[in-house]
Amino acid sequence: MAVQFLFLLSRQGKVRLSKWYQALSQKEKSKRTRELTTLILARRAKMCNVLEYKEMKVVYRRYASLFFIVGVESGDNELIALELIHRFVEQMDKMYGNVCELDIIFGFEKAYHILDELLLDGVIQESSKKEVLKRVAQQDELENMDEFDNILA
Amino acid sequence: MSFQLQNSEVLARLKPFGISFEKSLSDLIKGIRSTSKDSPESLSAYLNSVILECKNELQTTDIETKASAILKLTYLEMYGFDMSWSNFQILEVMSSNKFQQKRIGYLAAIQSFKNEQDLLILATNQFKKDLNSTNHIEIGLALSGIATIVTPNLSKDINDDVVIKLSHSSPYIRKKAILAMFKIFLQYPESLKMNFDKVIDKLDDPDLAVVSATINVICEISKKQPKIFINYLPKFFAILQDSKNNWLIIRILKLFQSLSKVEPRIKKKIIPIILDLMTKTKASSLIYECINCISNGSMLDPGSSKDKDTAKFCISKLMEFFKTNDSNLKFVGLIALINLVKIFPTFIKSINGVSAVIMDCLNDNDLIIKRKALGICHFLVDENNLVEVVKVLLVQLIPAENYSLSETLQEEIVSKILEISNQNNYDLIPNFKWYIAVLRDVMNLTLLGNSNRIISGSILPVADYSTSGSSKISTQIGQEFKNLATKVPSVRSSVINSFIFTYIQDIRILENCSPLLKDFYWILGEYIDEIKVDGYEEDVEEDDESIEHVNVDDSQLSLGKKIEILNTIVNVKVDQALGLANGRFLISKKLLTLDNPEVLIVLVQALVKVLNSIFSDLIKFYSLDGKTLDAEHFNQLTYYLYKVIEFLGALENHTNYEVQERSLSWLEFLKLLLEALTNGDLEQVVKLRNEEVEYYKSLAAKERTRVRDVLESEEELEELEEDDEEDEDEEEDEYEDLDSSDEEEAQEEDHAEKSEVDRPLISLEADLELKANPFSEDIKESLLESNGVENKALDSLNKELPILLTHILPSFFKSYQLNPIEKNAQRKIAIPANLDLVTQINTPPAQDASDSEDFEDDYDLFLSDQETNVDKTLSSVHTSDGEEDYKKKQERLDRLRDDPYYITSGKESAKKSKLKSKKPLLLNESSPEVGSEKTSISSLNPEIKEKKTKAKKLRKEKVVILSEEILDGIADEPEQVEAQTISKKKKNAFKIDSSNLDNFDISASVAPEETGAGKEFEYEIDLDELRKKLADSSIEKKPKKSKKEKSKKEGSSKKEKSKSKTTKNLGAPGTTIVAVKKPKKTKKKKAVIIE
Repeated sequence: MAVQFLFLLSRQGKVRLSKWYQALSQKEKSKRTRELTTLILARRAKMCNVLEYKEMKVVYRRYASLFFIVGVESGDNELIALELIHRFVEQMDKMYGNVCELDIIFGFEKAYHILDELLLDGVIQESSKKEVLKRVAQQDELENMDEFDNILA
Repeated sequence: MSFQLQNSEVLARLKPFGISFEKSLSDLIKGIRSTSKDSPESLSAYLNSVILECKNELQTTDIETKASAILKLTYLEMYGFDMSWSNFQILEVMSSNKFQQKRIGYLAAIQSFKNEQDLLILATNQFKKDLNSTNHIEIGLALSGIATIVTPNLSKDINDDVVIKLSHSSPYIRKKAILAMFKIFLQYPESLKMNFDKVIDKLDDPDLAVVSATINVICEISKKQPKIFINYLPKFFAILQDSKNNWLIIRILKLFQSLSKVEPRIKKKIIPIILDLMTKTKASSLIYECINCISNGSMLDPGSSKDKDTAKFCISKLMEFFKTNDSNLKFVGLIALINLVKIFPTFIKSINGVSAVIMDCLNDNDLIIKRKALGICHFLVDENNLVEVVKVLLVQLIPAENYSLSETLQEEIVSKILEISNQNNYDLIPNFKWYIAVLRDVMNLTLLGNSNRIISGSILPVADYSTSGSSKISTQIGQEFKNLATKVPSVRSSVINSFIFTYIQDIRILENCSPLLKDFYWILGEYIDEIKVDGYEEDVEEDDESIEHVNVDDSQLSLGKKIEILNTIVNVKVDQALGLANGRFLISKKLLTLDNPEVLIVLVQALVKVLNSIFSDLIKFYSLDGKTLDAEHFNQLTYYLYKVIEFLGALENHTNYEVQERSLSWLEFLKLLLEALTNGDLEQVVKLRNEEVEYYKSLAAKERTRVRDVLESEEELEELEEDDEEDEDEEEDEYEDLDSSDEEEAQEEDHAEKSEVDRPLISLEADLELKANPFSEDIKESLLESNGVENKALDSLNKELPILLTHILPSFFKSYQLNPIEKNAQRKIAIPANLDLVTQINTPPAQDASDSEDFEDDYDLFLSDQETNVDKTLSSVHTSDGEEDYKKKQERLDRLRDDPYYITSGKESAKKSKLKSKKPLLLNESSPEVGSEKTSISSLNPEIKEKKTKAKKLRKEKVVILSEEILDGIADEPEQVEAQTISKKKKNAFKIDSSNLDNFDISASVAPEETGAGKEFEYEIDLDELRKKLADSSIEKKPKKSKKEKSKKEGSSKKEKSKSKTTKNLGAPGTTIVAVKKPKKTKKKKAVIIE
């Protein structure tokens, strides 16, 4: 499973988080984001969550006001991509504590950290729920240690 | 000042608590949120100011401030801002000792670094340092960073450090290291050769996450290089059977899918395991992956009964997906089903519920599912349900209220309808009347429907023909009609009567889907003789005799129809003479300005064919001996000719070469004909023209009056018209009736009775009226009479027709029957062995001049002494009887046989039969039956299946469908692989993809030096090319941006290269250093120009 990109979209079409595992120019990124935004926002609730876009599959899922959009290779398992999105949301939920859109807006780097532990350059690196959270927590702790040092200094 | 300093100090002290830091980022976010409520302008102004602030903050020395600025920029990157200008600062933040800042730095780097070469040279050291940190988390962070932004150079440098991490004590590091290794392999394939065993070793890692990551890596590599893992199959099997983790199992299944393609034997072992998995698991993602593995891993053999059972089992599992009512499962289920059905097409019918599922998906509101189902619905079709399936497809074309049908989807549906209908040479079509009705519906729903929508919206002008989907639909439908008309002789007449005839006179077609006309005109020209009067088609079941009877009755009326069409096309001049605001012959006018030369190209030919048909009809009906015609009809004939010449004359200077060429060559011929007919005396023609104009004028007047006062009595009307007529006559503004059929009859009855003119013959009602016309009976009688009695009195009135008209013109079109031939047949025609294209074989033109029939070859000569030649032409008509004619023709054919500019059928040549069947339009008078020997009735269903069980069902009609003629001879040439011609996609310069592994050979010896040298060589070539390019581009600046980017990139690589070049040369004597340095400088200069 090689994820090509992942981004979060609000219902108004605003990007809340974006991660590209292909090195694309900024222009190309915005172009794709724009195209997918129009495609996905136009779809209705009961329709299927998979699109074929360029040479890949785009899998999306809506949680409350946010669309989670993932681009995977065309041979990849769409259901697993959905599963992945769900996993990501679950972990954010645990990390932020009942996550909502605002949490992600204001604590976006945290979301990135979770994502970076879940995926490594688009490849799923950890399928255990606990492990990801544990690692992120460890890093946060280290950060705090730094701060503590600072205060002492 | 001091207070401020203190203040900032306090803030700095507070930062670790996250206060200042958080505030500044959340300030930014809040600011964005509040300004975005106002207006987009204020938002962009705000964003710009924020970026400026960040830039300033990055100038400071405080690393803390920098980190916060970087974090803000990372956030702004989501809004589409390029932040690559801050890369060096990111690097700085990355190298911070504080983990908090390092983390920000890495986050920013992962988000924004894209192969910046020089930057990554600096980054390499940072990565190395972090990799060798004592802190696991820092190592992990570095590995994440490497995996994301690795470049070829970086991967070479960092390779060894990462390899060491593969045996780190912490599984967390090992897991990340193996994944990072994959990225290194992609950039630096040599590394895979060196470390292959280490990767395989990781399969035995005690930690599941590491094993899983390793499987991930192997799986990805196996997509490109499956062979290298064949030896480790037992290991994979063991993991598969031990594992309970679905994520991992799915990965391994993917791996087996790749491996099974190169090692088919694993199928035996794996299929039972997969089937077992499928029965045990409840996870639909796993079931789906199992089915995918079986169907995509080429594990199914259509011939094997065991595999059939496997596939059946899979389909039964898939059927459960469809029952869940979850649209995602429906979608993936459909995809899996499509894959299976492609291998076993019969399952679509033999397994219960499959066809129902596909039909259901066709009707789905979700366009994605609908489109997928569309892709396989042709498997669904058989004789019994074709009508039903096509109906379902047609329903899809009906625009729904809640969503608009995109043109591409329309096009897909249309092509699907056509595809399933003409499967096996129209084998499945129950009834062609039905099929034509379907096509008509398609046209109404798509082409004409679209236009209505546009018109009702009244915003958009008609879309560009060449690009829009409607043009593709038009082309397809047009092709389909052409196919139908050529392949199914029995439907020709109904196609041309009920379809072509109407639509050619429908201006909407011309305006909205002109490509359609290309084929319509072709059919019109080719099968003009099939034109019959309405009503014939209604009773198809009539036996042959009665049809023939009808034919005799209506033949003259069909002439009227032909003339009607001719008028529709060419009457633009009449319109001009009429001077009406909205002309009567808009189509004719629009045709002249039509910007689709393809249509005009065909039109020119069709027009002449129609003209020819009119001529032969006139001759057939009104000439007694086939060579002479009474003055009245002679003049009419001349006038039609004149009109066509006039129309073609308008195309003489068309911008399209082919249109010009064709109209010119016909013009020359037709002008000759006109000369031969009139001897340059156009008096009669002018008279007829005036009469026609007058006729239409009176018609218009009549229509006006009708509108004005409906209650006016018929007599009054007539009076009025007569008044009109007289008035206009006085003004020398003559008009006429040109609706021939009417005129003919009128003349037959009474030449003087010109008042017949005002009957509105142009419309369709006219034909009906004609039918009821008592005169038609008279014509028949008089015809019969005149046939019976050798006429004498009339003879004196008759004018002779030139042989050009009676024989040569028809010979252009009627010599051969047109038969469908297989695709690419033309390629298979062997070049005649005796074909000599070098030596001159034809006699000089001077000799030919004596031959009256050779006018075409040498018009100049003809011009030089026109008179005599015309005389000769005419005299030849006098003297030559049929035989003589034939002789001459033979002579000419003999002469032309070796002429490379003519394609003839040399009767004695061995290639004859091939050529004949190939070239239906040859100039040859041999009987039209020649071609028909190929007519096959193989596709005809011998027994008519009576399906009276359902009244609704269409009865299968018995129809002859011509099969395509197949030429044997040269073996089938493989079709050009079109994929090759499709321009290679521009490779993304940034993209890290696995293409590096494409040609990778693990068994090859490790030879980094060699490849290095090879690369060096490549670079040298690039450099030369680049120099050329630079020279070019310095002259003309190319506005293309992508090119700029490219050259930029090349520029940088060039710089690098030239660097290496200098270093290489360092060993050489000092003189060379100077020599090398110089070009480097100039090169740089040029690069600047480009950028």
